[in-house]
Amino acid sequence: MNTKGIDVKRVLTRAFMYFVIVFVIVISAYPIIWVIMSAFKTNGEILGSPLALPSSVSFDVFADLFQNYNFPQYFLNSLLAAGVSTAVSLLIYAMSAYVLAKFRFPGRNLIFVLFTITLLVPAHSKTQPIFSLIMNLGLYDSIWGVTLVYVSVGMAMSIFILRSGFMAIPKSLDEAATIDGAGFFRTFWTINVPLAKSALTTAGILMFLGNWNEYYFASLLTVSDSQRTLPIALAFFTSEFSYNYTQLFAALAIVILPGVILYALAQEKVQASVAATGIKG
Amino acid sequence: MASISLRNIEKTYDNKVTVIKDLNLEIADKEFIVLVGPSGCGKSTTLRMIAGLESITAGDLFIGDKRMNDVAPKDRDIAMVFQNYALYPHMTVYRNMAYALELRRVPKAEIRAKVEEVAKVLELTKFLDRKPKELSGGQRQRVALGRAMVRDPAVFLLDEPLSNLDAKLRTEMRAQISALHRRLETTFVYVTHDQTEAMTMGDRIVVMRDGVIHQVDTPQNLFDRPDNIFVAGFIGSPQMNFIDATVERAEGGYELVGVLGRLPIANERLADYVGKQVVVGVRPEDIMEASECPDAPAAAVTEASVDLSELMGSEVYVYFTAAERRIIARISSRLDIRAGDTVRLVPDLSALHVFDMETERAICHGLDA
Repeated sequence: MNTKGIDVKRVLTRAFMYFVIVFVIVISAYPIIWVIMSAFKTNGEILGSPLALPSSVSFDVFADLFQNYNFPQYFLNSLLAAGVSTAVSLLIYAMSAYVLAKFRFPGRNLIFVLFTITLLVPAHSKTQPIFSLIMNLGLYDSIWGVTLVYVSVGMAMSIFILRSGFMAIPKSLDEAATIDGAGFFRTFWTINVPLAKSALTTAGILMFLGNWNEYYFASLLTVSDSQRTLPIALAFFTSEFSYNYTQLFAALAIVILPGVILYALAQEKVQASVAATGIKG
Repeated sequence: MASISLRNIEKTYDNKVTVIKDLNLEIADKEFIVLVGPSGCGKSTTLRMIAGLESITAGDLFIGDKRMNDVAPKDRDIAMVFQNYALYPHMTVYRNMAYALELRRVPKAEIRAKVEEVAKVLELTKFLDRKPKELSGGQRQRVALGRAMVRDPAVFLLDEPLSNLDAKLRTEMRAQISALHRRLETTFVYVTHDQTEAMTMGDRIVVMRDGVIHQVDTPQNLFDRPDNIFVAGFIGSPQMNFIDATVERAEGGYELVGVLGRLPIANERLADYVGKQVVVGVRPEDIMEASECPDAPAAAVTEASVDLSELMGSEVYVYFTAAERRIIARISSRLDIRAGDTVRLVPDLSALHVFDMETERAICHGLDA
């Protein structure tokens, strides 16, 4: 009798758990799947039966986007802005996080708190100083201006992730390297960086995705078509071709897919690292 | 030449907490010295100061005849084995061992020859391509030793290297490290909290507590002639029994009168203590069943009821209470003593230790006479 009661309870708990999991997956994944699916449908299909599968699979619309519009340029701009800023900031933040994690010096906690406080300042409130700075540097309407701004965007969160990544590496390894004869930079490069791979991947991916999808500063700092990133191009595209849903969804898919693929490839590392940091996504 | 000399060494953290106080120690070339003491006694800090991983607040450290206070660890000609091995997890065993030589820009062929030679000695040849996580605890420990050996350092520093191993492996590795010391003929400084390791491996042992050296001596002398109550209690297992007693003058010398009866002792150092209280130390193995010791004076025999007996194989630990003090005796298991039995016990009078109650320093030892 008692055992039966426990079994029923267990089954119900399981069922509830699965319900929650499926529910969350559906509401988060369905829009993405719907966008990608719609890219393969005709305008009529999208309007007539929005939930149905496409009747045929054709990549013509993607080819059209790349051939007849400036999409390769937008794609390259996005890749440049997100890629270069991620690489540069990863290097700088990894070095700062390493020092914050491994060395004791006066003001260490204060510096860390100052880094963290930037999490609380909304990006929009920094618009004016950033705009002036970029103007003064002569980088207005240049993808490099956008890249420079992106370098600073993910700072607090990345330092958070990287610092805990470096803190997880036992200090005795640094000491062993010191005794083996490695100096500061060599200990950082040859011992700590390879061992903080998970944290570096996580911080890198989160930064890349953030910058890849960033709209506000890209729209503020660029005007000419040749300097646009994908999200900006998409906004223009939406207003310009609002009647052509197939093309619109194909363009959307081009923006979404790299991020999804990148995350899928590194999700294990990202999850482990985020769990270790205690940061919520 | 790699003698080590620590002169008036002090270590203070943040100008507040002093963990090492006026430490003086001379370690001879090729000596195997063991620093032992309870947690927080400053033994690891001392080792880390020799390594250069901790700065020295005051005093001088010499390795050979060179003052090393401000010399970088890599230039001290030392190698260190860490408690958790500190092997680089992303490198193979080969690279772990070769790393220090690579940093010194030793030619590749020479590195290979050296690593292979050391790997052969430590029976690691077939593991050279593996990563540390693919090795057992004992193998990792050998890699850590190998990493130190390839450099041919003048001094080996070992910080509790066996504490992560199980009991059987620890015994094996203990013998291996001792053999290694004989083979390499280099100065070894070894930190442990385990007195068995200290007693079995060290040429000399440094017993520390609260940042102060309590005694530096050979294992035998530490055991037979401890300088104070702390050393007497720290070395030996089970711990030495301590009993309060009053010194009285008697025929042919003195008597220590306490819960173990009247214990005659002829040592003139007790002259100043007549009528005063002292602490008498008796090791459990020096308390015998009276039948085993027919010549013992009747006044030195104590009758006691056994609270607990623990059979350890060839011997039995007998616990009994005398004047509210728990006393342990190590007695041959042939006597078949069990809890509740009444036993007649007598201490070996030639193996008593007498300590000053106030200063806790040794006054005399039974072996002195």
